[in-house]
Amino acid sequence: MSEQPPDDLTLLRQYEPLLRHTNGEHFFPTRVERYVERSALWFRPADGPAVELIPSGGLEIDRLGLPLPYEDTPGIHFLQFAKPLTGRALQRVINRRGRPRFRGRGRLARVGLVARLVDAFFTVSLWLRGTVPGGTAAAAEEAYVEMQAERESYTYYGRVLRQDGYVILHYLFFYCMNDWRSSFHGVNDHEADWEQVFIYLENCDGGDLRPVWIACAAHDGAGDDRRRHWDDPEVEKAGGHPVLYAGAGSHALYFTPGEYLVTVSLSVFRPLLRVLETAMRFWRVTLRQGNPEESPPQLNALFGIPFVDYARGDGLAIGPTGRKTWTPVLLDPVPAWIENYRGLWGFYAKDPVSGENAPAGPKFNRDGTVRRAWHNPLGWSGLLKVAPESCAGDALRHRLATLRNAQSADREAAAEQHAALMPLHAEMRALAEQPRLSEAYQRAWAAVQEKERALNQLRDRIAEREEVIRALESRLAAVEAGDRGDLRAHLVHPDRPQSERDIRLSALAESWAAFSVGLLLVGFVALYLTPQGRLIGLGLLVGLFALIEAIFQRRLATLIVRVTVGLSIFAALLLIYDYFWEIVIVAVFIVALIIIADNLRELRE
Amino acid sequence: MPRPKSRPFGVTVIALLLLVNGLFALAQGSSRLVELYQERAGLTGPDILDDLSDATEDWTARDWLTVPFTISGIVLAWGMLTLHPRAWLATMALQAVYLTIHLYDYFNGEQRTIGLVITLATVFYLNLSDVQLAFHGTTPNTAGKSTAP
Repeated sequence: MSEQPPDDLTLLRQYEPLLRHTNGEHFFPTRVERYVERSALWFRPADGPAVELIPSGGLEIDRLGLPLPYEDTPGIHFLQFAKPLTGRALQRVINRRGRPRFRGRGRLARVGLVARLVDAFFTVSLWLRGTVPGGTAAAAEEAYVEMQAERESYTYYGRVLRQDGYVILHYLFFYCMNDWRSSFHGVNDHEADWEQVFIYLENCDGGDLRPVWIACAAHDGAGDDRRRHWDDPEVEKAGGHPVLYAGAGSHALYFTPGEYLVTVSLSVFRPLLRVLETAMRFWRVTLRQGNPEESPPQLNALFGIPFVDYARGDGLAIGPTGRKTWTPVLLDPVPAWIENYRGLWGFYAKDPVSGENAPAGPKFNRDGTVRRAWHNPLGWSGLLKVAPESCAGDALRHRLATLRNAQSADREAAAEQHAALMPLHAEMRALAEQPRLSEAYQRAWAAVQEKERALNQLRDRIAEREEVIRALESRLAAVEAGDRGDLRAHLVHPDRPQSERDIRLSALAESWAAFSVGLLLVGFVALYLTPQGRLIGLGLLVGLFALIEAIFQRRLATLIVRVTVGLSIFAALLLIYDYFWEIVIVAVFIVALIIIADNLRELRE
Repeated sequence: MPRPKSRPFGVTVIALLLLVNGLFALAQGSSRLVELYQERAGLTGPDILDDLSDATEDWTARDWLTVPFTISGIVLAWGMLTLHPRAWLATMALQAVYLTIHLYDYFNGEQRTIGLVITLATVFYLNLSDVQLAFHGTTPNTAGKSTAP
């Protein structure tokens, strides 16, 4: 007698993750009902000020699933959870007894001066862009503390999908606020934060379910790099449950505890980056310059804005074996507030780059389109192409059968073409001996050439396919012998926490990082005000800053090499400018000598 | 097992250049100092400074700066011949000093093209990946090889 398959809630509970937060975190996964009850519903038309539709205290979660006013008007619906605190109220929250305190090493000392300059411009842009007002995070924190005091709960929402041989466990975590920027010097703040985890169970042959893959969301990442094999040593387990580490404030999820340097690239630098990449390739590949054992400099990081995601896991742990346990909510059927509400789940800050605008719900993107992670969780984590392990042999056998069929067909075609080609060639030879049939000969010659080329191409294809078939047969034999291959082969740029060496910076280096950009700007102004010697002053200023940076970053040797190479390039350009035609003449002479020497050597041999 | 290092021919040439330049600068500097000492020996009082400038009037600040660095080439030559990584870095630094002086000369209308070309060639050669491997590397050159498609 076969056992009854576990119901969906049991499945969700069986693999629910243990979420480890960072000490200093203010928000934890909570129920959406209580959040919505404290929120007001607003609508901002495309061409006018926002209007409050339902005030705070009058909204219930089910109302979001019903048709909303202004649904046919261009604009955006959004919730507002917290009214920003100011003055004493703000100080009261900040100085609250027992409030989690966060201590972390600064982010600026971990990157170079250029990145810090870009960061300074990003900070300035926050004054110009729409942002979540200051004091919002504190207000949200106060409201969250009150909600927890009324009834403490830690909630996840879950659903179970069955797609393409997988059973997918989808866990959703709702946080009242992302306070990464205001509390942890991160990229952004926004009300409401949805995070998610997927666990992919195998159900290929209808046997027992077993987990094979796990994927978790971090910022806007998707694809293979977000996914790990269940048996990957990086996937930590606690009593059979996966352990994940949430970034402080951002709530991005990671498999390994640590501090992650997140570099946000600005699109304005992309053309410059492309030029620099081309120059770098020419330098390293064509001119064979630089130490090949050193990885080339990450140009992307040079113009990116550095932020640290602190996912230390030294704070509250929620889940099996953790200090707090989960209250699961099964989304079956999917409630109307998920299915129908396309608005934002928090304050709409009118930020053109969206980082400060609240997210939409689990099903929708901010623009109202359906999230891929919702309708296609296999595609979201790059699994659509991957057969479940117990079906891997079937996938290989299916592909082998297809290729073998194609191979047989092509072999037959090649044989037929070969059989037709030889008589055609014989005919062509016969026509060649008859001058009066020259036109017919020309046609036959062209036909022979064309058919011969086609036959050669076909045979090349057959030979290549034969190699593919052999590779597939070899892989099939390995799979049948139980070899799963490299479990991390799909990873291209997996998240890696910073090393102790990167994090361990002296207080002096941190102070310098804090002061450097401001000092540099003051230095520029001082130079501008100086009547003489601006160029030399600029050189000395930049040189001094570069030297101090190199000492703090422990890259004095790199600085020496770069200065030497930079001076060389500059001097070479001056020489080219002064002696262009002389250089051309000498180059021509050298080429001529090489050619003559080469030809003479050949002649001698 | 680490690959035994073999010294590229160009490194030997650069080492010899450093050595010859260093010895020449040592001789030149020493003779200048002796000359200066002899000039000073028979004089006393505040005129010493005037005589000092007289004795070295054909020597510019540029020479006083260059000579000590060039003398250090004697030590660097030994490091280059033994493929010591620090010698590679120090030689690059020395070339940076030469380049700075050449550029200073250039913008003051005293272009020394031959010296500049030799310095540029030295930097280019020392920065070649194979040469860098000879100093820093213990494995065969794997540049350009990648497991990524």
